[in-house]
Amino acid sequence: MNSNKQQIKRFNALLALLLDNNLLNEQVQELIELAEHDEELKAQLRDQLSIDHLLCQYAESKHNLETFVNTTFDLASAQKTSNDFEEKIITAISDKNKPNPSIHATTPLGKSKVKTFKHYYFPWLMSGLSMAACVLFSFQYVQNNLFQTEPSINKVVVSEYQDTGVAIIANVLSLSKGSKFKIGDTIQPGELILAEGFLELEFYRGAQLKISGPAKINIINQEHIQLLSGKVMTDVPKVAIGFTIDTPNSEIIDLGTEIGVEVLANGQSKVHVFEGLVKARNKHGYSQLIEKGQAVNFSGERKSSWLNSPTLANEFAEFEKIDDLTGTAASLQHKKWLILKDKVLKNPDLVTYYDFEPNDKTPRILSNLSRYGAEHHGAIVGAKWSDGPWQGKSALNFKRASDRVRVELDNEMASFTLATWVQIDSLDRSLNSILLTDGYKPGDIHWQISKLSHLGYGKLVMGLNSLNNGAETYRHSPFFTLADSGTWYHLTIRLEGKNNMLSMFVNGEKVKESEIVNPSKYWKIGSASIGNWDNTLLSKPLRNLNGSIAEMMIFNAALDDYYIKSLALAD
Amino acid sequence: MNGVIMNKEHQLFTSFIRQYQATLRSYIRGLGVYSHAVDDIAQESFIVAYKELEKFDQSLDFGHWLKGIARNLVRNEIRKNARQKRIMNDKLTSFLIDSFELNYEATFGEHQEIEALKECIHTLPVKSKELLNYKYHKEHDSQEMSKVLGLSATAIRLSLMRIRYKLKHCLDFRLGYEQ
Repeated sequence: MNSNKQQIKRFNALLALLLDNNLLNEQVQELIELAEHDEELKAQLRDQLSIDHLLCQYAESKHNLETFVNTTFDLASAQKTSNDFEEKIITAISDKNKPNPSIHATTPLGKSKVKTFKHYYFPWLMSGLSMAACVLFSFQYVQNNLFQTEPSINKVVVSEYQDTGVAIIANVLSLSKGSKFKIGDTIQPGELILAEGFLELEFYRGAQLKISGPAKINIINQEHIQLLSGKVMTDVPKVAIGFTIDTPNSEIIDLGTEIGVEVLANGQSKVHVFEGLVKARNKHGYSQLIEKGQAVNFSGERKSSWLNSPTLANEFAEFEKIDDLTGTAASLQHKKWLILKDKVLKNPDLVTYYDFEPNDKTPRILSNLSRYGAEHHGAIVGAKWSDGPWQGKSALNFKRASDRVRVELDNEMASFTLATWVQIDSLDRSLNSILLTDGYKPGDIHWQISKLSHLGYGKLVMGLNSLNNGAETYRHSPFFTLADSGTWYHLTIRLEGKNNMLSMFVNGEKVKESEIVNPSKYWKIGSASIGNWDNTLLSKPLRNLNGSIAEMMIFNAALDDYYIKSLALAD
Repeated sequence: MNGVIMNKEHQLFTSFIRQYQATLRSYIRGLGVYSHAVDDIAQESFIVAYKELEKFDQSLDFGHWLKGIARNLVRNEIRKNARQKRIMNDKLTSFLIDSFELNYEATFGEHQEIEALKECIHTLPVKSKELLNYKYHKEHDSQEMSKVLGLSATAIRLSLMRIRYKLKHCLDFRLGYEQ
């Protein structure tokens, strides 16, 4: 025992010297010999070194971090470019099969030896940048004492998220099967092809554009499109005056109006002004103002021939159907959901069902519709009633740090399926709650979305703390970027206790399947919060959701893929 | 279009750097790399990752992949001649690499480890904070601290070890509860 104590004492003395950069080579050997048969000492050796550097990082500044990030990226980009350059030269040489002796030396193997940026400048660049960074950091933070006083608030240089979109999809109707357009999606500049149905876009500058399929459009920027074929209608408020539609033979500048534009298969175009005023110009430079009620067919080359073949308002009548179709689609979706609701309520494995529909008599109670009734009712704290994923569907909006729904669900589940409709406005926290048990006790589950970075990229995260095998986290990414803000998702988690498999679904499609490495006899929810987290940690990190939830179902069984698809109304 | 791609790539890659740098840098130090050389090796790891980004399977853990790259870079240091080495001792680094296989570990959110460390430091006694301040902020070695604080250099080194040990336990408590 004594000798063991002595060995530990000696180990500590040597390790302390190592961390002080004062350990001699022969003492390193002694340190290794002391540690090699003792797992605890080994771990201590590594941990002391790691914490040592974490403390260095803590002592340095946020500015230092930004410089590290930017320098690293610049070096990486520079080297990638350099390698591309290198590849191009080598390709050029092999193409010509004639090396230029002025820049190459032939190796004994006959390969060209190119003096690269990497070999010659990279180490110098690295050293130079490191030195510059050191000087800068020392200068900036020499007077700041992080360990005794509160850190000063330093100006953080943050590279901001850049939205490269120009419009969002406000409505989709009667699209062809397999169409990828979804309400809330961001539209980037580039070609947009709509095979059938209607698409309504809201441009960032304020113009609204309705597109009737089939149509082909080239989106230039926030206030300029090219209509290559098909029909569009605009609604341009005063703030968006100047919205321009190019056709193959004309340019139409919207001066605050409602117009219809069509490009025929032969490339000829028509414009009809329903409200306001437009300025039209053909490819020969003839231009004129077109007022309300007027229509122009740009078939003729001369300006005088334009009005001779006017278009008719009823040629754009199909756009009038949009409102009706929208209402019909919404009510169809709602009807589909009501049918699903009936089906789900008959499922014997249903433990809890919050349909997130307000009850006028008890507006702050989230009603549970499963057989457990009031026993599983939730208490709404702070969250406000709002609109759900389709017309007629309600949701609870979680905005403030205190907003949540408190629930108490005491079922022990060997397998389970959790399903929800969730809308994410933004990921404000490192972890953003969907459903979190209080604390994180053995048997607990944590369903949340993590923020990958300050730029707002997200990951679906399922934390499982098993009864006896420790906690493990299962993740799926990519999921959610800031451009997806406001989009509704149907999310499902399925845990199959029998096969120890965990599956994640987004909008009814399986996106991730993982083997459970920490199986548990059962999992439970107990006291929990929807859209927030109650924890016992001293630091009390916030995990409140900034978004809305429109439905949550908990089944005491692993549902099959098809059933899950039906829950997402995607069947 | 290239500009758009580069911009997105920049955003994604810099966000990766931000998220993983703290863990990666302390991991590299844990392989016996000189403190002053840690950032160089961390940068090189990110550069290799960036070059090989297309090969990375997004469903896997990026932090784990990065650590694998860093391990290889540190292993290469063993073969270098003494003047170029960025590791404290060949045998020590070999020992640390061989002793700890690369296992999956939780990746914490951006700044989460540093924030947790900050909380842990706040719970320390004033005397301990003072020692940390001399060591990591003022960058004094134990001899210099000895003169200022009137304690032996050995006592200071051992006190710092005990403080780091406490901090490690506190961090495990704060970060280890789950993700």
